[in-house]
Amino acid sequence: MIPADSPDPLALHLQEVRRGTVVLACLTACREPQYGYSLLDTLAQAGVQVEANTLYPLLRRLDKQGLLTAEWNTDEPRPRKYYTLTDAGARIADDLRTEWLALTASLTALWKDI
Amino acid sequence: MRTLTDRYVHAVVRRVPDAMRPEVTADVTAMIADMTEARMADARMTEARHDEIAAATEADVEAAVEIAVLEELGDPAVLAREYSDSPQHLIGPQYFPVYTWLLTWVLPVALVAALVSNGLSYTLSTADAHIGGLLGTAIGKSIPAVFIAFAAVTILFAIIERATPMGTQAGTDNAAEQVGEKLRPVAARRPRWTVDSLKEVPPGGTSVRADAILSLVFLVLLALVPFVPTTAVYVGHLNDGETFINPDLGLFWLIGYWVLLAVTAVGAVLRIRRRRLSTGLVALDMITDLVMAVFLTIALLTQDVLHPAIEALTSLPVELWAIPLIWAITIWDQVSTVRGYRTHLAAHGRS
Repeated sequence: MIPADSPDPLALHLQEVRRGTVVLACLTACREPQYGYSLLDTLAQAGVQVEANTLYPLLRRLDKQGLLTAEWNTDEPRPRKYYTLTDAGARIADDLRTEWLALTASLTALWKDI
Repeated sequence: MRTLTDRYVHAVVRRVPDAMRPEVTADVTAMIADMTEARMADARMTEARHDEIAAATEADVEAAVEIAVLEELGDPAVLAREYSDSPQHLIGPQYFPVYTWLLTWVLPVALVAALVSNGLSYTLSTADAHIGGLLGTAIGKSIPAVFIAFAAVTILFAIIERATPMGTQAGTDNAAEQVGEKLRPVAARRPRWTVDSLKEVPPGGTSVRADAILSLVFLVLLALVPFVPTTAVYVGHLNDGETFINPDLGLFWLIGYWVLLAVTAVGAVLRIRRRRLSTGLVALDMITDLVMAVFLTIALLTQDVLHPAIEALTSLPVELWAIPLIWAITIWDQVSTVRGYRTHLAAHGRS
């Protein structure tokens, strides 16, 4: 029985599962320079659900951590901030992807066992 | 038409630290512009398909799209929180256990200290003191003191929380910060925990030791009580700054008081060295506390414990409030000792 005032457990756990994957998805998509909205679009088309109000601040944090570099492009009618994966970011993305594949394998194995 | 967006950006930016503002302004403005542009393109396509251009002017559509975009972005306060790097809590999980532990010590001590000093100053400064007035004044003035102690401890921990660099704290649940964790040099991380630490400090040892160290501090303070001059609470004029305690009080009573404190201190030192409780140590602690209460009661009933100059001024005899206070503290202490020992046994077993 779920208490009425607690948040929906499914929504809560889905959010937890997705939170970690968004970082990997961003790093992967930023192998090509992307600005916020183009990245949002790319991710949405790939089926990664993320809101603009989560993605833009996340990009800024990844920039501060040195995983992405940011550059304002003023050639376009409106200035846009383009993010590109750095070498450090590429290494992290590799590690995260390995972890992701291992997790998928583990879960597949677990699912079979029962 | 721009004002809604401007107001939204302002509502976000005023909630982030100064240094971040120009960057966040540019970021949020670009985000809204990009989203609006994409939506407008969608809207035009839909309209072209349905041939509804006549029904809505371009400006109307743009206004509607702007509202839709801002509402999708949601509460500016939430967005500002996403941008801010500062912790959004007063005391995080790393310091919370120490904080609550310290509060359980500081608050009762502050209460007792405030009750005693306020009770004393009431009986000394009121011409016709009576027990109701004593209780009312002492309790009424002591409650603010407890709140101040609570606030002081809380503020202290909030500062410690903010003075500690983000990355060194455990328990962050932010995915991006965990990525950052990997980037930091290995040496900067916390030393790896090994089972060796278990051998050095038995489970529960830290809190047993910390409790004992704190009791030693209080025992030293209690031992100094006979030397406290009246000037300490601004009533020095009453007896020329001599002590509160009667200087002619028999040496037997003073030595007895110190011996009992010393026995309690020995128990505390043993707890510090062994880092765990035992039935013997707990019994020693409880028996000395009881003996001390009986000793003080007899002293108050048979001797002029207070300085005669002060005693002459109090319209309310000291034993009337001091004895109930002593027994209240003693009973509270006995109960909390037994409860603490039970918890200790449940967690670590009998030694």
